[in-house]
Amino acid sequence: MFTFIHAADIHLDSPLRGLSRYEGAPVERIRGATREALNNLVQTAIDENAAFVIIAGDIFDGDWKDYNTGLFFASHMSRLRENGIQVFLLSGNHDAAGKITRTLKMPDNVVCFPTKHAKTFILEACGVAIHGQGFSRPDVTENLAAGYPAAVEGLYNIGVLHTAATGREGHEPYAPCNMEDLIGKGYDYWALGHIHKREILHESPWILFPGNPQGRHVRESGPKGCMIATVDDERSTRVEMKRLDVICWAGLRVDCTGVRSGDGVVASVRSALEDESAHTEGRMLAARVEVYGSCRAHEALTSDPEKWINQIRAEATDVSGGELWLEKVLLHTTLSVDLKKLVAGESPVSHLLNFMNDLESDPMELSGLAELLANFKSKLPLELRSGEDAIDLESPERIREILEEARQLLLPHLLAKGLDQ
Amino acid sequence: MRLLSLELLAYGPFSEKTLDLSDGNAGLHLIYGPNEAGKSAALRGLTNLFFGFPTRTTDNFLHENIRLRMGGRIRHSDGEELHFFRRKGLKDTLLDGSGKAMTDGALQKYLGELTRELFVSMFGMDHQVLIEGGKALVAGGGDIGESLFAAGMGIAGMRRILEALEAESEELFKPSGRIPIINRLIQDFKDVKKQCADQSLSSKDWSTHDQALHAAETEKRRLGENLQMLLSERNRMERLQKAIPKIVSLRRTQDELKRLGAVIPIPPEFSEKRQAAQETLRRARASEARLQVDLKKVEKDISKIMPSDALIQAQKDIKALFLRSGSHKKAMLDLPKRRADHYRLLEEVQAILKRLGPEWSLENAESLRITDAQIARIRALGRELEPLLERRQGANKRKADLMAEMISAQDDQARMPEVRDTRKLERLLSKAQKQGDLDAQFQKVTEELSVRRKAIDLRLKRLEFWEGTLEELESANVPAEETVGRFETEFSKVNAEVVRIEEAISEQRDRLLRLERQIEALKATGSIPSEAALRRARNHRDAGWRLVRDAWLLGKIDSEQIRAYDPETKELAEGYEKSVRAADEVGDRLRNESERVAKLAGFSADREESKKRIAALEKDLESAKAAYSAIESRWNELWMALSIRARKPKDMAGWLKQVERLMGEAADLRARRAEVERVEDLIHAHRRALSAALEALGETPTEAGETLGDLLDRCQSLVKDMTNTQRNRENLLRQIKDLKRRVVDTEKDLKQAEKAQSTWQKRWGNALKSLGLDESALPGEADAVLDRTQALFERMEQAQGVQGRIRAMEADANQFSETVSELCSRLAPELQASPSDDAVEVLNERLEKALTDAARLEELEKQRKSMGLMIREEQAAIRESDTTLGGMCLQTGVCSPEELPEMERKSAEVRDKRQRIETLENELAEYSAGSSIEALIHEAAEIDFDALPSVLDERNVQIQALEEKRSELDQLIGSERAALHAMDGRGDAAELAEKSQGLLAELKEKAERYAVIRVASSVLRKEIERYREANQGPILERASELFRILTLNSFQALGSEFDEKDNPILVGIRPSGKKIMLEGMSDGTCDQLYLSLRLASIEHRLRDSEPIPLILDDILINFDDERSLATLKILSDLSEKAQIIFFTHHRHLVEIAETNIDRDILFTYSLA
Repeated sequence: MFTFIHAADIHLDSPLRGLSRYEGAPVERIRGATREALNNLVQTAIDENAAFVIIAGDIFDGDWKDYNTGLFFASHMSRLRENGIQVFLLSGNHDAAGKITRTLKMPDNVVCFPTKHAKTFILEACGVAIHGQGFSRPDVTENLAAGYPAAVEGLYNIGVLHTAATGREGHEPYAPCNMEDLIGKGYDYWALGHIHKREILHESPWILFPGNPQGRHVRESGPKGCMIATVDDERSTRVEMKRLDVICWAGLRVDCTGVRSGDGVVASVRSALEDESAHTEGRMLAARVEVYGSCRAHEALTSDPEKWINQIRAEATDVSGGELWLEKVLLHTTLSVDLKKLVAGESPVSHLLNFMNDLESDPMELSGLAELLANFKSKLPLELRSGEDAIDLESPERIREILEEARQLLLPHLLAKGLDQ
Repeated sequence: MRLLSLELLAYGPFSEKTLDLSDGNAGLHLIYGPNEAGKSAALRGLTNLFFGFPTRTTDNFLHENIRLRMGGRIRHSDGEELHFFRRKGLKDTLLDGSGKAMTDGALQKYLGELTRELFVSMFGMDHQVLIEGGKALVAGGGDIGESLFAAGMGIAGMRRILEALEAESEELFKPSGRIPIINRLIQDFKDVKKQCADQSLSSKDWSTHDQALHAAETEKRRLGENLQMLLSERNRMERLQKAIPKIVSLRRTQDELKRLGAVIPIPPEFSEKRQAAQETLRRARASEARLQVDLKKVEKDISKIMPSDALIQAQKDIKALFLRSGSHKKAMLDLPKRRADHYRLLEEVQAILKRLGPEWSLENAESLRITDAQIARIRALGRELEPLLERRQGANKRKADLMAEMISAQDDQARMPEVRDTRKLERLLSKAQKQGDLDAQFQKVTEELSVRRKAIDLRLKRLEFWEGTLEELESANVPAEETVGRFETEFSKVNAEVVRIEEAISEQRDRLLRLERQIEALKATGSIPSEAALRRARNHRDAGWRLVRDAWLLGKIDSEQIRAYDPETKELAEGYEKSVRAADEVGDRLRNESERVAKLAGFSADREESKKRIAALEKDLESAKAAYSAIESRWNELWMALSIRARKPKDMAGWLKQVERLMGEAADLRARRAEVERVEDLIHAHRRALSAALEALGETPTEAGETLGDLLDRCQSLVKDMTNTQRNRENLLRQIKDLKRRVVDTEKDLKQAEKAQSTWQKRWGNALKSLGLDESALPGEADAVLDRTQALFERMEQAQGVQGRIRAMEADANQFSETVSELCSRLAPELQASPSDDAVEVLNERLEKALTDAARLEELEKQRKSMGLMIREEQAAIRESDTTLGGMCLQTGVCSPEELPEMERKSAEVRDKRQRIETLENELAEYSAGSSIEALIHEAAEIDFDALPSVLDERNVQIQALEEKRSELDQLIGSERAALHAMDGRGDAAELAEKSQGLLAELKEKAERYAVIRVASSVLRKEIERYREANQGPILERASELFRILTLNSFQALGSEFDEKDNPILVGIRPSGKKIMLEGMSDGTCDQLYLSLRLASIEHRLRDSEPIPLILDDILINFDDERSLATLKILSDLSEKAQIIFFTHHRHLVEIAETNIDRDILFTYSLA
């Protein structure tokens, strides 16, 4: 019987994204989250008395150049060596893109899979054969699994592969393969990496993505960690997920329909945050809050959004005792007036609303509005102009959203007198 | 639409108040309401009548929420009328004439698409809006678009809104500048990104340092080996450089020794010994000669001395007399002084006797002597008198003081207040105190009650659907939780059914769509021949044949039919041929493509079936939805009893939980109220009892405003006062008793003192008798007599002593003279005639001389004897030295002692050379580095000594260079190690990356807000412009006319101009044609301009919309009478088309209107 750890997509020192700072935000708590998670991984391997650790690619972030990150990683691998634990590393698309992996000197308990062809390592002591092939360049689009050797008879066979499998939203479709390819090899366990969301594709044999050990933005929400696999003498495997994350991401939608005042909205958010904070098991919570619903409070919220966002942030700090970071507060409430009637009526506001409706359905007008913002966008840093975090100020869908927000911003002003009644 | 009646049934201050507004065409209805008459409430009521009461209202001060009621009768322009009521509530607030609920849609026909907000702003106008509107016109610079838009909306102005958007936009971002938030964030982001890059360690850096360290360490090792070699070479050379001079010196010394040849070795101490012997011989010879001379001189001195023996024999007697002669001389000088002392003492005794009394002389003086014991007794008795006197006086004074103190204490006692019995009060007090601080308790429970009450009220207020009181809620028949649960199950069951059917329908529709697509696809590959098509082709052919037959066999040619038969060819023959071909072709194709035909038929059948299935499912859906609404209406009924418009059962279950909690809290509230009452009763009971007790003690009973605590304090201080008085009184009585006892004691003391004094007087008299004094003499007198008697006896005893001494001195002098005379007769008769003192002196001198001579003689004899001995000793020494020197000559083989020194020198030289050789060999051994001296000498022989220094210098330079190099390498290794150590896997760059992400997120947020602001601003501006273009012509034309009237022709018209940005702006035109910009107009004129624009906008709208009553609220406050009248006239014109309801609290305005406006247009009312 032996135990091994399966982790992937550590993206060491990859920064947490979307956490704009504000008074009371727990800045200290997010420091080095991915490092903490790696530390937890190593500690788990030691605590579980693991025979070996598999890291199925993307140890580092592709565009990250600080060699210190590599040194930090190597020092943790040394800790595993001191505890007699071997490590199998596979380079993923990010590792192939970056320089750190290539130049880093690893302690001798670390084995790296070759990138030209698949290779098998045999661990006599536990009767295990581990097969794997790393990425030689960032954009490997051929089916690597196809070139893996057949299972070694009489041993427990593990395939290590960095792959998008049959394709997953938000992930590049690298090293594609399907279930049949993998099952057909006759392995006992496929340790996959690349997809950041934990997913068990198959149970016998086990084919699974452990997900990344630490979520880095709100789209990587929920518990994060690694897999602990325990193999008994009959080669049957028990798989268990172990949390490694120190910060837990969550997206909350708070229904504020009918709430009259900004304070009421703050109270609703507080209550939602209190509920959510109960599930973090002592971790820091990074939450995105979207407030929605038609309500009288909308007028107050749109007239001074910053004030109310700050109040909500202060409330969050208060609720959690500094253990909560509000990643973003989206005020998506709407005015509690009968928009249909307003549109149908005979007033300048009706004309305005009709005009805006016309804009929404006219692609030319939409691109005209995008034009209006194009110059502004060109002043923003490159990171906001392209790539994953880019701000969208041009797609028709986004312009429609902006128009909707503009509508919700303008209406309280134009109906101010009537709303006072 | 117009309002025929406004019924303020139960609203604000009104009850059953109805305003009949049905007179006239539409009418200008002037409603007068003095202050406090409820004008504003009526205005609000009017809006609420149309659009419902708001959840919270201030108009329920007279009528409860549930009773609030407004009513109205309205008439559409098509003549239809509606009488309706409005109540306050959550649902079904609109009621028809008979009180039955209607939907709000019932008013749709009359109000069109108006919302409350639009109604208030577009059709309501008050004085405030007018002023703000006027000001906003000026602020907006008279921008035509903005002015028209604002006037159309009935709001003050657009400029404020546009500027607010502009301001926020600029606060967020400017194309250039550093201050706006986004600009600042962009800069911060760049900075942090740069810092991050600076903090990043490249892998190349690391390996560069690693390699550099490795190379330096290898180089250092190699260098160390070279250095070691050079150092040992240098050592060898330095060794040889030092050894070579010594080797030379060794060789020279060995040669010299050889030249000295064989020499008898003489020990080093030989020479010393020889010199000592020669010295001894020389000294002994000199000493002997000197001693012989001295001996002869001593012998000559001895022969000259002859001392007197007779004197020496009488030495003892002469010395004794010489000693006595000193004291004899002193006694002869002392004697006359003693005789004078004796005489003076006798004189003093006589004087004292004279002072003691005339009866006393030396003879009888002795009888004055008394014993020491007597003297002591008299003195002691004398000293006793004073204490006795003091004791008596003290007792007297004490007695007087005590008496005075007693009188004062008795006075105090007489003044002491009386003591009352407070025991009952104390009992009551203790009982009340055992209850604790009842006032505080009362306050605490009252506050708690109020807090709970407030909390419950608050919760009740927050409780949705419920407007009543807590008590009403408690007694209300709220549905059971189980009922709600049951409904929830039912709802979800039916809902699931609906969903299932809908899914089935959607599935069928998908299938239908698919089938149609397949049919389309089939058709797209070419038209499919069908049986019908074949039939059609054959029919066509047959019809052609009929025409051919008619023409051919009957000769009947119907050219119209032929043309119609084939419009293309218009010729029968050709057309018929074509039709035959076509029919054959269809037939052939039908046969050839039978498979496609069959497929198409199959698809078509499926399609039909699918359609049927959908129809059946839709029916099911309808019945499921019906079931759902049945449950829904039962559900709503359940809640209707509580006037609650229920939400979903799940929500209501939550609501029920809240209600249940409130019930629990209501019970708690009752318990708290009971507690408050209990504490209050307790406080009253204690107050009553204490008050009665106080009254019984003659104190004022409790008074209004005095709390129980105050009362308790007062009682307590009364009890304390009483206790103090009692204790003071007891203390005083004890004091008086004590004083009396002390007076008696003092009197006893006094008597005892008097008795002791008389006893003393008797003893005093007896004692004084021995002194011859009577008893009246004071102790001082007795002391004086005693002192003088004592002095008398001292002087008498001194005089007797001096006389004895004189007699002894005279006897000593006589005996001395006799002894001297006897000695002189024996030794020196010539001195017998001299006084004895001088004779003794001469004798003594002669004795001293004889004694000196005898001593001198003895000394000289001793010298002579010692010299003889010394001469013999010197002679022996001379002999011994001669013998020693002779032996030495024999040992060294010389003939005389004079040759000995030369022999000694040679021997010493040989010894020196040998010693030097040994020293040099030892030194050379040190330089031989372990090998033999011979090897060293051999090594030295092979080296060029003269070249050595230069070779050594060269080695030193090489060594120094290598050492410098090594030190450089050490530094390099140190710095490389430090550099590698600093690359410790730190997370600084990662932290900065984290920070930059934070900035990026903030930037994104702000950028998104900026986009919204920009779009909002742009869209609003465009719409304002559009609105202007569409409405400027007609509205401005009418507004111009109204403006002329309202300004009483002060302006002739409104015109437009362009400002410096080419925006069209409004200007007023004077009758003279002069154009006046808005900022040049007075406030009043601006108000009139705004009013003109508003009224023109409303009139414009009337052209193609159902009229809506215009509600005006005292808009003419700032207008003078003429302008007011002008406005009223305009309004009366407008009232031809739309009803105008004008509220005012100015009686004067009503009068102006009544005087000037036609009676069939103006109608006035009073709210009072």
